[in-house]
Amino acid sequence: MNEAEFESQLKKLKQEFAGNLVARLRDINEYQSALRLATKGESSEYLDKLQRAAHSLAGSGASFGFSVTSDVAAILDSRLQELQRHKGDLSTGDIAEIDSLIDNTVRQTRAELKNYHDRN
Amino acid sequence: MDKSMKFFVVDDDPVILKLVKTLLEAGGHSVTCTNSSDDAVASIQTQSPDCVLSDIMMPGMDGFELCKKLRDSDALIATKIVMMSVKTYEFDRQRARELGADGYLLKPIDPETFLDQIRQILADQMILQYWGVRGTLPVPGRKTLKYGGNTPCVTLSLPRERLFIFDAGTGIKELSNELMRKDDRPVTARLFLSHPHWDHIQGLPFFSPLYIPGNEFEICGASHSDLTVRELVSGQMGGVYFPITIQKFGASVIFHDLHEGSFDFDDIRVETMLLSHPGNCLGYRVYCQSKSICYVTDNELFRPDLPQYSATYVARLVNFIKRTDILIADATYTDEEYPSKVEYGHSCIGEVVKLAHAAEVKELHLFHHDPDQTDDDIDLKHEVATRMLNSLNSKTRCIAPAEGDTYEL
Repeated sequence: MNEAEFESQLKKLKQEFAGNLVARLRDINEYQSALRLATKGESSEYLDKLQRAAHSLAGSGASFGFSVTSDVAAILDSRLQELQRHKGDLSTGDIAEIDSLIDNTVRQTRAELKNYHDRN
Repeated sequence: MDKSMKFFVVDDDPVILKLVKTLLEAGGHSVTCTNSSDDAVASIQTQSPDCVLSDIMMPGMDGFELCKKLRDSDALIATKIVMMSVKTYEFDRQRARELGADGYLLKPIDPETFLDQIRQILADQMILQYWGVRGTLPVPGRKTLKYGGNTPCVTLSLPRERLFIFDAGTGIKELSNELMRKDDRPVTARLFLSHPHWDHIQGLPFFSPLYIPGNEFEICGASHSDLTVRELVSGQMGGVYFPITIQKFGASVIFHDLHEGSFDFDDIRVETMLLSHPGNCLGYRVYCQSKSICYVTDNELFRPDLPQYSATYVARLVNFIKRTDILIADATYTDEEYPSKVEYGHSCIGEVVKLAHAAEVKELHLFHHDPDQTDDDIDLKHEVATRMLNSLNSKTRCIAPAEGDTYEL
C-alpha cells in the first residue's frame, strides 16, 4: 500500500465512522430511555449497555479525528463505571446526572459531526 | 520490528479493528482480526501470531481474561501481548503486566504514532540512558559542554515499560523534566541509590514525579549503621538543608534497605555487592533476558603496591561483573592524579581497565569524572583507556558516555 492508498483508506474509515456516529448516539439514547423505564432488577443490564457504548465511543472518537466526542464520552464512561461499581439501585439523582452527561455527549458529538461534514 | 510480523487483533468495535488492520498492513505486517474474544483463543492458538493486540473491555471474555488464557498456553510462549484500552488507571496497567502482557497502549489510537508505539513496546532491548556522568560536584560551563556537567543519574528502560533509575545526582532533574513532559500517565519506577553522598542524592528533592499523586516509586539502597534509606533520604530534606520535607511526596514511595544479595523484581534479577568506598556503597548488576549491566560507582581499586589492596576484594568484584554487557565504572582519576587521592574512594583509569579486561566485560563505560577535569581531559582518559585495552589484546570496548547518550542492549 503506497502513501496515497493509505491516506485514501484512512479517509474512508473516517467517513465510515462518521456515517455510523448517529446510529451510535441513537443506541445511547435508546439505552438511556430503557434505563429510565427499567425496574430495579433490570437497571444493571441497561447501565452495562450504556457504559459499553460510551466506552466504545471514547476509544474510537479521537482515533478518527473526533477528539471532543472522545473527551465527553470518556467523562460519561467514567461516571457510569463508578455507578456500576456501587452495584446498588440508581437514585433519581443518579438518573438525572446520567441524563445530563448523555445530553452533553450527544450535543457535542453532533456539533463535531456537523463540523466534519462542513469541512468535507 | 523491522521485519514483517503476524498480528492478531481482538476488539469488539469493528471500525477500530479496520483502523488497526489498515495501520499494521501499511507497516508491512499481516493481520487477522476478530470482534469476538470468546472465539479468539482457539484461533490464536492455531495461528500462533507474533503479537496479539487486544482491547480490554469487551462483551463475554474481557481482555484480561483473554491475556491470562493465552499466557497459560505453552505454545504461545513467544507471542507478545499488547493490551489496548481507554482505561488510564495504573491499576489496569499493573494488572495487565501481572497477567503477562508485554505492553499497554492507550486509546484513542493516533494513526500518526501507532506503529512507532507498537515498535517501542515490542522492542526487547534494555535502553540505558545517561542523565549525569560527573562525580562529586556539578560542573556547568563551557569546558563541560561535551560530556555535560551533572552528577550521577542513569536510567535503564526495561521491557514492559519498566524503569530503573540509578542514583539521584543533579542529572535526575532533566529526567524529571522528561517524565513530566511525556504525558499524564502515572510514573512507576525503582530508584537504586549507590550510597547517600551528596552527589548521588542531591537531585532527588527536585524530582517532580515524587510529588504527584498516582505515581509509584520504590527507593532502594544500603542502610548506614542504624540509618535506614528512608532516613538517609529524608535527612537532606529535613527542613535545615531543604525547605520541603518528604512528607510532601504525593506519590506512593516505598523505601527498601538492601544488603549484599540477590533480589527479584518480576523477571528481572538485581544483584548487589558492597563496594570499596567510605560508608556503605552498593554496586548493582541487573539481569534481563540474556543481557546484563553493572553499575559500579563509587569504588576505589587500590593499586597492588598499596597496603590497602585486597586481592580477595578484586576477585569478588571480577566475579560480580563477569562477562557483563556493560560495566558503568568509577573512573574518576587519571593514573597521574591518583597517588594524591588514595582513600578518597575512587579509581584511576589503569585499574579500571585491568578490572574490565579480567572480567571479560563487553563494554566499559567510563563514569564519575573528577570535577576538575574538562571535556578534553575526559577525551584523554578515554584515549588512554582504549590504548591500554589494545595493549592487553582485550576484547573489551571502551566508551566515555556523555549526558543524554543512550545505548540499546
